[in-house]
Amino acid sequence: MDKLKIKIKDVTYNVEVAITDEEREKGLQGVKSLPQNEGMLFVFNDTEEVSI
Amino acid sequence: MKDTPIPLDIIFIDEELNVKSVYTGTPNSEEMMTEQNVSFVLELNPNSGIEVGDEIEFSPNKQGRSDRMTSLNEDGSLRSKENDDGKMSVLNENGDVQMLLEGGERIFSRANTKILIKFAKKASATKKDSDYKALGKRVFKFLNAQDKNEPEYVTKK
Repeated sequence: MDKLKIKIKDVTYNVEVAITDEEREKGLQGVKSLPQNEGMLFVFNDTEEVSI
Repeated sequence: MKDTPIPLDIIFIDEELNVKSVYTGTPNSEEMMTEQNVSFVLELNPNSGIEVGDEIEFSPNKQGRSDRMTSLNEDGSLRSKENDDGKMSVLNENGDVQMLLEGGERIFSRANTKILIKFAKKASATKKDSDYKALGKRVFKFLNAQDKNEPEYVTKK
């Protein structure tokens, strides 16, 4: 999975990018801990109603 | 949050890259969070301090380069396109598909392509070994530059 740096309020986060249906479905399932300032960014193809 | 054993901040982000809403997800909860007009969802450790209205910036970085095309536009927005058949593609300035990506592609700049064509034409005309070698040397030079990530390939000239 690709990683990307994003910045919010001067904090930089290193996030995995979930683009495919498969990647989005799996998400962070089973992840037992997340390093500080890491996470996952889900990208949706169209602006739409999203349920997580 | 199904099968997710840790609490997470779930941040819904709209097309303009503004935070629309922030929820804290309960571990292993079957409960779904739904939001309209969302382009991105970000999941981070809880207590991220991110609030409604905060803006997301994509920082262009070298690690962003990868075999699968997920690149950034000049304004920092995410530039990637998944076709209906699931293939990734490179887009031209108008957002139309220029080529499909399978993974591991090499990309030559227009300038480098011109140089290669020049050497190829010469070799084709003379049929000399030395001219074919000169062409091969240029191809390897450009490929090596990509492998070594020289600035030509990561900054705009």
